[in-house]
Amino acid sequence: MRKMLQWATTFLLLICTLSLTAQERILKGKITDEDGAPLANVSVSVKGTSKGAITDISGNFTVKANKGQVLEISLIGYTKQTFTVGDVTAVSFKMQKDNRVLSEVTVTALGIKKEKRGQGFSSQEVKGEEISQTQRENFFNALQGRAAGVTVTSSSGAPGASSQIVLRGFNSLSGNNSPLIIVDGLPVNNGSFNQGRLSTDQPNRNNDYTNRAADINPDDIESVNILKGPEATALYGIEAGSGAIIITTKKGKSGKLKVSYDNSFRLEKAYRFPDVQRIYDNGNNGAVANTRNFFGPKYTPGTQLFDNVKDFFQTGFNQKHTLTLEGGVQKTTWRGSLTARDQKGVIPNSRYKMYSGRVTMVNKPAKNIDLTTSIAYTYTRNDKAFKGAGGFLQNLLLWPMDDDAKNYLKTDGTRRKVVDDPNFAELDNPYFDVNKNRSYDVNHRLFFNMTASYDATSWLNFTVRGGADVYSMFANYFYHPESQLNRTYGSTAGRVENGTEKYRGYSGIFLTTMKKNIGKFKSTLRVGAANDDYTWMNFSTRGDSLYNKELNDINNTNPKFFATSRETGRDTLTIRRVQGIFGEYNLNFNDIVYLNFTGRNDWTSTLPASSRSFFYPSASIAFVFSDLIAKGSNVLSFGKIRGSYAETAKDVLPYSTQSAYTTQLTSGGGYAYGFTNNNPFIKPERQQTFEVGAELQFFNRRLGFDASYYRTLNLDQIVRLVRLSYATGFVLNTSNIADTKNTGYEVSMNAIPVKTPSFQWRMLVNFTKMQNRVTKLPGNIPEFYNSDTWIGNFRAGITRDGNITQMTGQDYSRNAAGQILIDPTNGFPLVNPDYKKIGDRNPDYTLGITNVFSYKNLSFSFLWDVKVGGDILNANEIWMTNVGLSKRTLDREKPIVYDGVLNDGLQETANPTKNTIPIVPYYNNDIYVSRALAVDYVEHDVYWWRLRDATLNYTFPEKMLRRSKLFSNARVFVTGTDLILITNYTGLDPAVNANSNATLGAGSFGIDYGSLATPRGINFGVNVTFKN
Amino acid sequence: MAVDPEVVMPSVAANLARGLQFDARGLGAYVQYWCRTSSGDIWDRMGYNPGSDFGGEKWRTHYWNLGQNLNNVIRDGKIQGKADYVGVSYAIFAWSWLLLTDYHGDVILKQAFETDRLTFDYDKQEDVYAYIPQLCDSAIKYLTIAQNLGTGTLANGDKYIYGGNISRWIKFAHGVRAKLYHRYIMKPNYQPDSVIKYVDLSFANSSDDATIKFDNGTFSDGANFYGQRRNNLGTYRQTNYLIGLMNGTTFPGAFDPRLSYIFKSSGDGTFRGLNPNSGESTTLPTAQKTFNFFGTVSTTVPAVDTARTYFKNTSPFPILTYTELQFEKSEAAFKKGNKNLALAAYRSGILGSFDQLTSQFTGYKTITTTDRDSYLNNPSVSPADANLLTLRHIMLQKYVSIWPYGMEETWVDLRKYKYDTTVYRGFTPVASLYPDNGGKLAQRVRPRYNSEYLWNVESLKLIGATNLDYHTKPVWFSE
Repeated sequence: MRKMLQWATTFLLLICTLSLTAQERILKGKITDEDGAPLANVSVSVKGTSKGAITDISGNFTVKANKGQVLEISLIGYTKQTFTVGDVTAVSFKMQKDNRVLSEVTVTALGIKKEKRGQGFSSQEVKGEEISQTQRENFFNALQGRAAGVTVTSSSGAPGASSQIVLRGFNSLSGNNSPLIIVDGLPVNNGSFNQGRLSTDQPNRNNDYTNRAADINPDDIESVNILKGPEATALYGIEAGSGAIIITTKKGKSGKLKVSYDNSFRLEKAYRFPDVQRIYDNGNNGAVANTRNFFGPKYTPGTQLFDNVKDFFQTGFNQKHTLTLEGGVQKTTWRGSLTARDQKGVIPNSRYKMYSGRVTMVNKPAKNIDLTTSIAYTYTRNDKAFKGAGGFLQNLLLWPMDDDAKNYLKTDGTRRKVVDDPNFAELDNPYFDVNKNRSYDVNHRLFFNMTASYDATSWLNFTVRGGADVYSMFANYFYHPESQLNRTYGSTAGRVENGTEKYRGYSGIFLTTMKKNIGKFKSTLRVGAANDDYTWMNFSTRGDSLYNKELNDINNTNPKFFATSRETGRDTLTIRRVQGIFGEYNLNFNDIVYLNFTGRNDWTSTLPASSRSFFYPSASIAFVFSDLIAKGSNVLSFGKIRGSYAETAKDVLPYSTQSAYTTQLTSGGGYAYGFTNNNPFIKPERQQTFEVGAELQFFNRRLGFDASYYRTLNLDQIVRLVRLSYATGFVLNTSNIADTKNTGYEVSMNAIPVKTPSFQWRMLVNFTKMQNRVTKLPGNIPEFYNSDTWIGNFRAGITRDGNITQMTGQDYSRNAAGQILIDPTNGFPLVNPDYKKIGDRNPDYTLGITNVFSYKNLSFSFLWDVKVGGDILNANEIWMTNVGLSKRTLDREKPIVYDGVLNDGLQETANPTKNTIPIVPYYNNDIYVSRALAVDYVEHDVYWWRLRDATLNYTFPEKMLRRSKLFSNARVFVTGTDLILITNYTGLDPAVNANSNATLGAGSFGIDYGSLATPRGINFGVNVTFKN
Repeated sequence: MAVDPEVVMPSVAANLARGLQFDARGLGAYVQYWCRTSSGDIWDRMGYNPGSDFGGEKWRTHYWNLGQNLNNVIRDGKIQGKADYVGVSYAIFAWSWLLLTDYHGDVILKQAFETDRLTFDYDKQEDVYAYIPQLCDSAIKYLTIAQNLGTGTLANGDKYIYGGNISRWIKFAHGVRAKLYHRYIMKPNYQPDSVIKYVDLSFANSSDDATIKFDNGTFSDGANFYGQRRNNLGTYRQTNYLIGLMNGTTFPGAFDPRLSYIFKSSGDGTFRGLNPNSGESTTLPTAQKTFNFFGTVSTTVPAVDTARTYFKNTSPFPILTYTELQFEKSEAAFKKGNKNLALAAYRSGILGSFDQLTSQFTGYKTITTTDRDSYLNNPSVSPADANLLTLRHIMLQKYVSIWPYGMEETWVDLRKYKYDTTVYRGFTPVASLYPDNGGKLAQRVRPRYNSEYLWNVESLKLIGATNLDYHTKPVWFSE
């Protein structure tokens, strides 16, 4: 009995001792970020044990620990914290952003978050805040200069102008070079409406449709990650052959309801107008004539001359208002935003309106399930002026200078013409054009995205994501019966043309992630499948001969008018589907060596059955050597080298494998084959990319470099619209015929030259150098071009061993010695009809230089966009020479003797006859019309320094706001856009594009023709957050 | 989904005319059907437009507008059991290949319509000629099947040629074969009896003529290329050579009633033409100006359709006629030595031309049967004795009778007789030939520039087509 008692006492004592030594307690805590916002998914682990917890959506956690044990609190992107358990049972932690790495975690392919440290390829992230503070309506325009390897070209300075974005240069000669745009893990359509879908089949240059990614409200963007090379996007498959832009939208933060309001107002002014001669009157060959050519006699001294161009433009006014609400309760956070924008451009009656709303909800119905749902709607209406040939800018220039163009109507309200003759085909007065001819488009767009993530176990996750991107666009053209434009487009009594585009994109992804750590090896395996369905429905119809000449309504047209020409409508249905399965394996050794392998197989509906399935692999390696050789060094904070190789493929546009019948206007109508031989034997084009790079950070990351070299081979390129012998039975063909090579260097430098508690200077410099070459083109194809770009005696033409970005044009005929041949009958130089390379638009290099100065609550940032080298074709000047407006024609009274030899039979002999025949252009202005060859109008080695944007921000100090009943946060700003342009280019704007974004291939950037230069703008506004 | 032949055929029909009519501007000048009102025209001077598709329309219509469209009609027609369309397609192909090689000489035959080729080799004219009988055989085979079936839908698709009359299509196929066999006239293996046989199997009179109809004169694509609406011939005028053949000069004392049927005389009552490369003086009194095809003396085409005969907006355009085939029969019989047959066919040819003009068109001045017979029986037109009939009679009457649609055939004749003025009495080529000709007359037209000279140059080099005087190199049939 005593023994028993002894045992029992010992046992009890033992228990007591144990419990005393353990002293285990329940510890509750809350983890927030620097700003006090709760942080979810923070790992709280008890060092040396398997115990731990993860914070919930409100940042709360509960963990059992003993006094003296150490808690490790960690979240990727934040500095790890430790805490020794003491007597308190409720704690709170503020996590500090990890300054070692500016953006440690990046969102990569398929929405997978990865440590940037282990990435074997280059990507660059731009914060949403940086984008929105530029106040650009189209966020593409904010990216120029902010990341290396990114080229953005806007088609004009008009509201809603389309922008083309290209990563690492043009790979495809005639296909799409636009990167894949991903928002929250799902693709978003960035096409521009193709005017070929209209019933009148227009060439994408008289009207501009915005690139549809502009429907994404910049204010909703949290970050933009640019995955430049295909190795970064191998997991996305054929869609991402031109790189990918990964957009993450803002999510709500849990906590109290937060209401904020931002606004911005902009004044915009057009500048850089064409410099024209104002000496010679309208006429031909020195004589007055009813013509818009300025080849007449000199104006009589004292004649009042009007500046019709400058007078025309108004001050643009733009306003934007955004209301954002966000908050969260328990397991749900949400954010909603509403934006209204109204942009009145510098061109009278041009206007871009947008209303947009987005709601995002993050929900955690169970501790291992995350649901994210977002829905966004955007309405836009764009009222536009016609551009290019016959557009307002050229017609303003052509208006007689001694006539005030403002008087565009007669007293009876009809069109006033300079030559009052109903049969005289007089160009439209631009005032008449913008007031009476109309062109607009309206778009309704809906984005829906839902993601469910389920952690089955600590090492196994399933994610399903599905969504829709749907829009419906309506485009309208109204040609007033009195306008000349209406004749230009083939009508005589006014026309209404309407077109619609209905787009549906449905995407779904399933992804399984498995993680396993063995010792110092961490590995992750992902497998998944994706399905994307895209449908475009276009319908267009037109009516001619208006009953009421002002009423823009297709019911206002004479239904009998077209009884003779049969086709008044066009209906197009385009469907495309891509399916893929993919896998990825990451292996991380001790956070020093990272290996990554991916593989994907795609099936695309646009290729023939025999070649529509294809597999492509990628592999990359990253080696963080700094941790081995310089751990803890003050000089080298971080050092990594990386390399990758990837293959991808591209498919063809839908229906490129089957030739199509088109309706005929010949007697009896019916069908016949169109121009294009669509090739049933087409194969996918292949891309092989190799990239190496290094990232170095010095002095506690005060100075860093990230450099890459890449080489991309594009093999068996599918070239559309290629001309061959008509013996194919067609005029244009689709073939795998060309190989091209792109190489480039990209260097990003980040620096913090000055850093004191109150003053900081940060710098980011992006350097890009790209080269491209056409390495293979069949011998019988001397040149390939897209006819959209064939505007005058020049075009964006590609030749063997030439460049993808080159331009071709006609040159003078020359003898073997290179001397220009001269027509012995009139002294005119002879023109060689062949199109030869006349310039390359690719710059030598570009720089984007961002500087940010911040002093206490004031910050000033500005971005210089620098381009050095590359040729620009001043096609405006060609045209102005043709019509006698160019200052080049001022010496017209002086005889010209072309330096060349007569084409008299002796031209190839040792003693050719030197030309001595004088031409006096004043009496023979044909020399300015027929001999204004593009080759003489290419401006070589054009540079520009463009102050893209500059922003001054003032944030009201917390102290001041504490007294305010209304605001918890307040900021005012002034932003200037395109304020300064320093360039050696003599024309309007070297950064405009003659065609819209819908022209594929390298398009026509660098061809300056009929577009308005980017206007200067100044924005100001406030951002406030309300107290509640 | 197959496109029904019924809806493909109308555009094929329209393009049969289109190719010839476009190129007629240049070729019509070569053969002196007409010339320009100002001097210096390249085609008046038997040259060509470098770097231009002018003259290359037949190439375009053959390979593109007909090519794959007809291939599909043949393929789908066989599947759908539409022997009528299959037969017609073969017949049209036979016709088109013949005219294509007649015009260009060497063309792409064996590799044609291979859609995955990048370059295309040229084939010799004799190879193309050798291929055409197969097409005629296939045409006859399928047309005969269709005729026996008697239930086809050809009338729907054939509205613009024969309105679905299969027996006429059979005659058409025989006519093409006759025309083809006649191409061998300069060759030792020439078979005049075959020509005569197939002419006899072909058209019985001018109501069998194959003509392309135009349904609409009010907009461009549906109208006759020669017409006022299309406005292509405003600066062209008939040549003095043609007028001379008709006004009693070349056929002494025989004023051709067709002259005042087709043309208007100048204000002073004289029928005029111009000489190639000479132009018309702008200072001529209006009464002495040459009337154009639209009944005015202006180089601007009138705003309304004032033209007669072939030049109205909806005038049908002949592509193979009874009158032409009769002259070929006459020439074959003449070659064979059967002068009586030659004379009979010759007279049928002239009568066919009168029939065609008076039954299909309205002229300026009506032709009575008396007018016609007194012309036909004029001894300088029809010798009373068949032995007095000459080759010159046949060729010159053929020239007049197939004006202004038969320039292709006329050029074959001119070339095979080497522009011989004993046959073509009074035919004077321009003195100032195009510089690249090197003093030689035109013998072929260069292949279409934008098809061949830009995208198939290597193949062109192999046949010497990049030589500046390639267009003066004689074609096989004339050798």
